[in-house]
Parts: sequence; structure tokens; C-alpha cells
Amino acid sequence: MGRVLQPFAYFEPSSLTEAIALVGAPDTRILAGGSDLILRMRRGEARPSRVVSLAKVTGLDWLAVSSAGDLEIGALATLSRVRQLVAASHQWGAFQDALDQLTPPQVHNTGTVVGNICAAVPYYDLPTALFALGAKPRIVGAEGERLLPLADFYVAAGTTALRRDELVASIIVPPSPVNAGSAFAKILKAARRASDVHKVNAAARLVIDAENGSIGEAAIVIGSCGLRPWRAPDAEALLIGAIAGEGVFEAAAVAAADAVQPLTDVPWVEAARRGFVRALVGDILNLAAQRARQHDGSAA
Amino acid sequence: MSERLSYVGKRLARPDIAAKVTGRAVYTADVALPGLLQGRILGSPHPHAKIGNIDTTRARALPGVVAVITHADVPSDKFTRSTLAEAMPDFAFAGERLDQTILTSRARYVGDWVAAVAAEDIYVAEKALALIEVEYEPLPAVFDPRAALRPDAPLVHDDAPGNVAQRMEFPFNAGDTAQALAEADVTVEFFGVSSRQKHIHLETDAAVAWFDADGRLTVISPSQGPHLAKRQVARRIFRDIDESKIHWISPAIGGGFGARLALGVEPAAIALARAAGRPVRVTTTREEDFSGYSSRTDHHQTVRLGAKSDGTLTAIDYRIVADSGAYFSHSGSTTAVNIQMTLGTFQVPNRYGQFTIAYTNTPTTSGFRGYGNAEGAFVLQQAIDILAEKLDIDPVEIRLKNIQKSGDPSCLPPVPVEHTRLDECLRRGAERFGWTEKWCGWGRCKTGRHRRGVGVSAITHSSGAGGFLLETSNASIKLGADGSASLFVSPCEMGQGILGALTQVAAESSGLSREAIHVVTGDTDITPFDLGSHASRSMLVVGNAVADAGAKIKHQIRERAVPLFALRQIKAEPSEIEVREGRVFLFDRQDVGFDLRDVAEAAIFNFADRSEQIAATGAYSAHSHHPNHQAAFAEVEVDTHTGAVKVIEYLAAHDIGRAINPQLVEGQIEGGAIQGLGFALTEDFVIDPDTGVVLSNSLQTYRVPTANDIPEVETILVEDPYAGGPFGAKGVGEAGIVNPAPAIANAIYDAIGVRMTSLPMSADKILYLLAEREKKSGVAPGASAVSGQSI
Amino acid sequence: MTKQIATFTINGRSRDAIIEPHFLLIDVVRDIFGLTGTKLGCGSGECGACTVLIDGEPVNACLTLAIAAGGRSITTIEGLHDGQAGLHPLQQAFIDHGAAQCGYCTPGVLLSMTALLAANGNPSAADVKSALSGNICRCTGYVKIIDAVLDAAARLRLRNERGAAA
Repeated sequence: MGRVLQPFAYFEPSSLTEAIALVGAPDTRILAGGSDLILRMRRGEARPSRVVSLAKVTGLDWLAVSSAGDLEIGALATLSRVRQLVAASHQWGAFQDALDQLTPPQVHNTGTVVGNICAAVPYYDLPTALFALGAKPRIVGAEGERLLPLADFYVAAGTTALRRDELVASIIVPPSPVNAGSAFAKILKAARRASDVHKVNAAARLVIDAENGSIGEAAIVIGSCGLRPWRAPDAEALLIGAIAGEGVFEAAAVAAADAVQPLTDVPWVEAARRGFVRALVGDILNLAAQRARQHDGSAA
Repeated sequence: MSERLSYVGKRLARPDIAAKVTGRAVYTADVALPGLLQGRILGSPHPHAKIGNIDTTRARALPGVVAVITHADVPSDKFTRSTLAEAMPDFAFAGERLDQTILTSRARYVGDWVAAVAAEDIYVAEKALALIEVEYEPLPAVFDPRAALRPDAPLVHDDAPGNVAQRMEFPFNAGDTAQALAEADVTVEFFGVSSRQKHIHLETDAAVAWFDADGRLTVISPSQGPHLAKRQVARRIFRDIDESKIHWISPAIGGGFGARLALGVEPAAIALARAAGRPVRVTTTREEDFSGYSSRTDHHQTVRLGAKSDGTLTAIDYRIVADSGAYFSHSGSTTAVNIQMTLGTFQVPNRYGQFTIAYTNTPTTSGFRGYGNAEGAFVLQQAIDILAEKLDIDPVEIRLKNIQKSGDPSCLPPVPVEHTRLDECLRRGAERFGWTEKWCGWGRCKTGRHRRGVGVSAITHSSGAGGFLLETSNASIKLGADGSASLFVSPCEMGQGILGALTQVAAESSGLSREAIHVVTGDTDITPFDLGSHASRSMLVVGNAVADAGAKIKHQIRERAVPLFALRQIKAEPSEIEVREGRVFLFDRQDVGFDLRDVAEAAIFNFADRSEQIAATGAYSAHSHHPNHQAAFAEVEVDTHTGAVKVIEYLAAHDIGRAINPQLVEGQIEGGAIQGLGFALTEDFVIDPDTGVVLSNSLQTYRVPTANDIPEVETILVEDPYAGGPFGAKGVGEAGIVNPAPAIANAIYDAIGVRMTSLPMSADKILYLLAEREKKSGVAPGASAVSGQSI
Repeated sequence: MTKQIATFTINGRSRDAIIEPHFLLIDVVRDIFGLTGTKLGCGSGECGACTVLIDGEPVNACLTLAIAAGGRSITTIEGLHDGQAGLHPLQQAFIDHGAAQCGYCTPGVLLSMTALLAANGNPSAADVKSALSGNICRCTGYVKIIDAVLDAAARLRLRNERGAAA
């Protein structure tokens, strides 16, 4: 814990190959925007002797929607650029919500989506939203490239499935079909034990049949309630095949709340946490359905 | 006095604001000095531990380290951090607990200061801290004040049996409350806990200290009372330094709110400067601020009210258990003031107050804007509403019925209330707010997910601590031959704008033009004695001293103008001469006169007669605390699904006497309202009941209001000049933060029928309480009184 | 040791400093360049007191490595003025409205608002609040800050209209 950082060796590779070679060494951390790493280093939670900056690696600031409709976000694409593109695309509502609600504004100019995802901080918002949207990190390493669903990417708090000689070059968000809608929301609270978390967040994605209003696909992701975001399959099961509506969403919200594992042994704190999950899931299901029905996945 | 005012009542820009909007204002950590070393302090990781051997060998050996100190290297005399305690009469000071050392040999909270380093740069200083090896022998610790007061509790201080830091019956109890409560037509009992609101002054604690070649000590720090601080340091801590050898400078202060009325890192900086033989700047991090030595304290408050069936209060019985944390500082005086204000806001013939302050192994607490009144109002104003509901009386009406009137014994009996317009604050506030349209009566059940409610609170605060502490001010003005004036005054400008307001008072009372006055402040070598900034005193007490000095200046100008009129063949008596806005002229011939500069120059450049610069010192002492009053109204909307409370509208009507500068007064009311909003709803200081670690140790986990969180804020200034204040002015700095929590609590009750018994009234508590009411699920709330664990 | 000479463009001027990779931008700005107008409030990117503009965008200098900011254009509060005319309209509006109290948050606030007005010359109160949400003020309650920014925006629009008409 300090006011300043302590010295480290600093590298600025200019190619992905060079970067991969550098990150393989022991006691090395990767720097993208720095919002997470620099803070951890100042607080003494991370003490790498080597820091590899991706700032000069060509090609990592790629940000575009492919011809197949995937959104590919390069490791250096800032929150600010991504937010603009997502807003203009009128898809991926949960992602737009999470970006809109991410504070402070200053971090949008330096923080990166990939950096946010790779930090594996249990209470971050983007992982929850991107999990619900089926996003996949594109991992590159000495042995080649692989795509991994976020569900498999998070192993524990602060730990991802990245091998030592790998880094995430980009994250791919699949296209959103026209009758899909998604939403994200969060509630801030006090952490009342060391194991408690100071917020609850949740994201949901629904695909609703335009003809009969029945739910074809459902994803409910709860974040900040554990070491990594998790899906609520029992709640999702109540939705599949059902006609979208407040009653069925409330039932799913109750099921999601029931699936929350306590983080503390304080009954009232856990009761409140479950209450928050229930409220959030109810609200985001309604919003996701509304967006799905508008044939427009946007947050507008 | 003529009511034609040139400067009083005007929205004029403060003299220090240009520096603030250009980044040129100099704060403590901005000061650059040749040879300046960087100092950092090591905190204990244990909540309670004996400290054995401290091995500083490796730290000292690090290149660039100049000094490493531990408790063995600093004076062992114990002191209280509270600078304000220096203003107490001896008999009151005797009740203060002197329990603090600069660096400790026994850690009493996580973060307690164990060692300090001064080095050539901060990187080396921090590396050195990590190399200090401390032997800790952990001791049993206690974090819950109620547990601390039990006979089997581990002792935080060996000389405080039962962990009682102080226990007192309020010295101004009156009547027979037990009997009055027994005979009352209706009684109410209500319990509530305030919280350890953090000041969150954006400038974290820092200090610079150095000894001159002749042994004179200079300290630069954001102290709110440098004249008192130097006395404190010499008398209580560094007893081998004579107070006359101390020079204390308070530069621009990045927010005070009462935190700077206690010593922070200054003693450590002085000790390091002495050990190093060079100037040292000690800085702290925001995390260290959270686990440090300043916040409000938890007051566990039980109030009982007795009343007649028409709503007239007959009795108030008020008992507090307060959690001091590991050291005493301001906990005694804030608790005493809590009782004083709570017993004194309404006219109640039978009054009883009593408090016990407990030590716990948690961070030290201190004084915070509102100083006990903010804590108590949360409980008292809800109790009044509970009474009103029992009797089916409108909350505004029951307050109008019971508030103090002029002549009633005040909250520091037997001094009578000299002046109050709280009734007008209530009436005008209610009307502008639309109270009768918005309040639907008792027992109206609201429905739907989002429910709205309204609430009111009406309070009294002081303008200075007259009758309680030394309450005095001195101010000087000198007039240069160039016609400019220097105003020497030390109220401690920490953002409230007092320097600007005092300049307006100085100009108005002296007849000088405001533009000609230059303020000199914050330097004990230069400014006359003043206590500093606390108890909303600055305008009334310091303003009276400034007005006194100004009147004397005007008198001198008139006298010195006589020969100048004579040179123009005009025979004028001083009483016929007026001075206003920098011009000297005849009352009945306003076109006959000259620039004040001519008088000022002639006073000095006088070859014929006596040359004497026009200069004067004014003084004022207060023996009453000159109450100011405020009524506030809040409208809230509660989301019953999430427990979130949104404040839709907030209105405060303040009895200001006279607003010397209405823009500054509004700034205090608005700023206080938002700081009070945080206290009410989101600022949750949480200590882990198992480890004593502060869990809310960042601005993410301890949430203060941002621009996105503010409601519509409206202010009404009720101006009925008060004869005891300069041009009729009273104080305003603190009342604004006292009203929001109670007004919002009462509004929440109106919206959802739930009485909140702890601060903040956070969403998780509301959600839990709503669910409890529905289901009676039997989920145990827990009985912990550890900070941040009450529901 | 990894000491190196880095070149910074600060407030329009090129300046060199000897830095190491672990130096934070805020410390280089304050301690090496002596521009102490930028303030440290939390060191965690949560209060915005350290806000500087990098290529015109608000950034928290407390979470930026100095070495990463070389070659970019940095603006601190010392660089905010109105050409030869003195105070920027935002600064003048803050004075007129009493929008600064202790002044510690003020440099960061002014720079965030400069960026806002550059991107949006006619912001609503909600736009101002949103752009301000990363700058904590503990003194003013934000009320007069918002008034001042809206007023400054109006003054700038008027000046631009006059400039366009001329």
C-alpha cells in the first residue's frame, strides 16, 4: 500500500509476436489502459518486476463490426470508442447499458474493454454484460490462437484461463438477431464483511418469437455475487418456451434470487442481496423483452 | 445606522477565488522548499497489539533515507489530538482524556501509527517503510462499544477501567423528567444510531515542518486553528519547544469540515524534521484517511419525550452511548453538544441528558460539521413526528407549537434565546414547498412500486461556542499611504468564503472601498489571535471584531480629514464627515470631499505635525452562542423493489439574521445539504466486526454524492437582523448539514411507513425492513453495534 | 536503473524530464514540472481532482504512467486561459457564480467541463451532471458549478455567434 509505485522494468513491444515473447517471463503483468493494474500496483496488491505495455503494438486498436455481424474489439480499443460504436449499432443493449453506467467518465478515455475483462475483478460490470451476450476473448499465444467463452475464461477472482505466454488480442461479440434484446443493471451497496461485495449486477438476453411472443433463448447472468459471473439455469428454464410477460419474469427473478449463494454469514445482508438480485433480474428481463419486441436491440 | 449599504447584502466575488480557478492557490503539499524531505508513516496491521522490538536497521541503511523514528524517539507525554480543547477553560479540559502519543508502543486500531521515515524522495520513503521490522504481540480486541462497556471486555487503555472514556450527566438538566414522563398524556421512546461519516475533504492530511537556524519551528498545515495548534503543540506535546518559537501557517485548505480541528500529521512532521535536521513534508493516502483519525462517531441515542394531548412537550430524557474509537479527541465534546442541541431546540421544561463514551479498537473519531447536532437531529426529529402521529397533529404544526421563542431558556441554559425566526423559516418553507398539498396526513397508505413521501425538520445551531469555550476574535486594519488597506484576520478560510464576507464587513464598517482591502490571513506571526473556524462562528464572532476594527478606522479617518477640509477652507467636525466606498465627504454636501487616499497619505506624509499611520485593532468576545436556526423540507421517492431512495426536492429556510453575501450563504446551505444527503443515504462507514478492519476504504465503497445524485435544492434566506451580529448577521456553516437526514427520514416514513433507526438509510436496510414487515420471515437482524453494522 | 529522458507537450510547450517507468503522470506534472494546480485527491481514479486533458480528453493523471503520456498533448489547469484575454469564460463564470469553495476539486472540474463544452456547445443540465460525475466536490453541492457551466456555455455560444456574424 503506497502513495507511489515501486520500480519495474518496462517494455513497449511493437508487434504481437514480440509482446507474446515478453509476457511469458515470470513476474510479468500486461498494461493496456492501466486503470486496474496501476491501482493494484500502488496498493501493493500486484508487485510485478516487469510490465509489458501493449500501447505500441500495431493492430490492437482494431474496432469494427465484421461482415458477419460480429463486433471485434481490439485490446487497445478504449471504452469511449467502443461505447460510440455500440450506441450507433443499435444492438447489444446489455453492453451499452454497462458502458453507459460505468463511471467515472475519465476512465472511458484510457480504459479498455479487454483490459477490463482480463482484470477478472468480481465486481466489474462489463464481464457480466458480455457473458450474457456470448462474447469470447480471442487469445493469442506462442502456440497459436484460441477462442474461449467467457464462462470458461474466468477461473477465480483475479485469475483467468490465460496461460503465462498468452494474451487477449481482442474480444468477439456475436451479432444480435433482430428479435433479440438484452439489458444490464446494477445496484451499489455497502460491503459489510471482508467477503462481501459492494454491488450487485445482472445482465439478461432474450430471443423472443415475433409471431407468438414465446421465448426461444434466455440467458440470465448474475455478477458481483461470487468470484465470477454465473448463469442461473433454473431461472432460465422457467423462461424457455414461455410467453414473455411480467408474471413469468417475476418467477424467473425469484428463481435467480434463490440461486444466490451467500457471501457472508450475516442473514440480513444475504436477504438484502437476494432482494437486489430479484429486483434487478425482474427489471432487466422486462427491458430485454421490450427491446426484443421493438426488433431493435438498442438501449435507446 | 443608515440602512444604505454599499457592500453588505451583495453577491460579490471572494478575493481568493481567482487563485482557485487558475490552479494558483497554494495548499500544503504544493509548498516547495530547498532540501525538502518526504515523510511517510507506518500503520499497524493489528487492531490491538503490544509493540516489542522495532528493527529499523535495514530501513536506515537504504540510500536516501535520512531519519527513521519510533515511539522511542518522540516525546512520551500523552495528549489529545483535539486542537479545540485548547479553547476550553481548565476545569473542562480536565475532563478530556489525554491518551494519544505521536507514535505508539501499543497499537490500538488497524492503522495506528508505529514508525515514520523521512527520505530524499517518496519512493525511497515508502520502500523504507516496508523494511521496518516490527514485533507485534497481538492482544484481544473489542470493536463493539456495547461489548467494550461490559466487565469482561479487553481494555483499550489500561487507565480507563471498563473502557469508559467519559461519562457525564449534562450539567444543565432541569426539572424532574421522571415525574413529567409519568404524568404525561402521551410518551414516545425512540432509538437511533448515527454513523461515522467521513469528512472526505479532497485534500488528504499533510504537513510541512522545519526548524530554522535559530531553532524557530515553522509548521505549514491545513489546520483550522493555527493559533490554538501552536499552543497545543508547545504545551502538550513538545514541551521543550517554547510556544513563542513556533510559527504556524495555514495556507489554502482543501476542505476542513471540522477534521482540521484536530492535529493530524503535524506532530510526526515536527518529530521527523527534528530528527532529520531538514524540512520534512509528510503526506497521506486516501486509504490511510479511511483507516485514520477523523470521522463522526456512532452515537447510540435513546430519546423519550413526554407531551400533553395538545402536543405541548413537557419532558425530554436523552441518553447516548458513543463510540470514541481508540483515542478520545473530540468524542466528549461532540456528545455533549449533541445533548445540548437536542435538549435545546424545543422549549421543554423538564430536560435530562446523560452520556457514556466507550473506547474500542477502531479508528479515532473527531469533530465534523454539525458537531453532535447532526447525529441527534436524526433521532429527535423522528421522535417529534412519532408524537405528532400519535396525536394526529401536522408535523409542521407540532414544531411551530414547541420551538423556542425569544426569551426562552436556550440550549445552554440559563442563557435566554436572544433571537429566533425559526417560526418564519417553518412557515415560509412550508408554503414554498407546498407542504399542505404534499402531506396527506397520518396513516395514508401509499401503493405501487415507487412511493413518494414528504418530511420536515426544524433545528437550532450555534454561531460560535460562547458560554462553552473561549470565544474571542481579534482583527486589525492598517491603511497605507497608497490608500490600500490590509485586513489582518485569521478565521481560517477553508472554502466557506469567509475572507470575502469579512472584506465586505470591513469595507462597510470602515468606509473603505472593498477593492482597496487586501486580506492577510493564516499566519500566526502576522495575524492577531483567533480561534479559527468552528461552530459556525466566523461571521458573527470574527465579523464583530472586524466591524469593531472598521469602526475605529472610520473614526480615525474622520478625525484626520478635518485638517484636509480646513485646507479647502471648510470647517468640518468629525461628526459631519462621512466615509463611504473610499470617499470622504460632508454628510450634507456630498459633492464636497476627496478620495480617502488623500487622508491616508496625509496621515503618514505629515511634515508639519504628527505622522501616524491610520490603523486599528478590533476585538470581540462572545458569552452566548447566538443561535441560528433552519427548517428544511424533503420530498423522496422510495423504490420498494430495490430500497433505493431518491430525493426529488429539498428546501431549506435559514434564519441568517442578515446575509452579508447571499451567494456565500447559499453556498453553505447547498453544500451542507448535499453533504447531509450523503450522511442520510449513502455514506456507509463499515468496520468488519471480526477484524476491526475498515471495509469502506475507498470512494467506491464509501459513496459520497456526485453531480448525478443531487435533487432540486432550494434555499430561502429569512433576514431579520440580529443586534448581536455584524450588520445583523448570524452563522450558517453547519445548520445545512443537520437537517437533511431527519427530513429525509421523516419523508421515508411518510412514503413507506418504516422508521429508520440507523444511518445511513441505505437501500439494503430499507429492502430488508420492507420484507420483514411483509413476511415476518424471522431473519435475524443481528445485534452488533460495531460501526456500519446496525440496521 | 531505467532512468530515461522523456519529452512531454504540456500546455502547448515541449518540455523534457528525466523519468522512470514507475512515475505517475501526476507526480511528474507536479513535482518535476512544478505545475501544482493538478491535485491528488484519492490516487484511485475515483475523485477526478487529478483530471488533466490528454489530446483534449479528460484523464485521471493519478492512474496514468508518465512514460505512457509522452508524445501526447497534455493540458493542465495552468494551460486554461482565453488566449491573450485572460480568464477562460468557464473560469470567469465560476467566479461570478461562486462555483468554487475550497478550490481543491476546481482544476479537475474546469478541465472536465472544458472538454464537455468542446464536444457539446449547448449542454443540458443533465449533460453537465453526467460529464461532471467523475469529479467529486465536497463543498458546493454542485449547484453553483452547474449554473456556472451552463452560463459559460451560453456566453461562448454568444461569442461564437458574434464571431461568425463579424
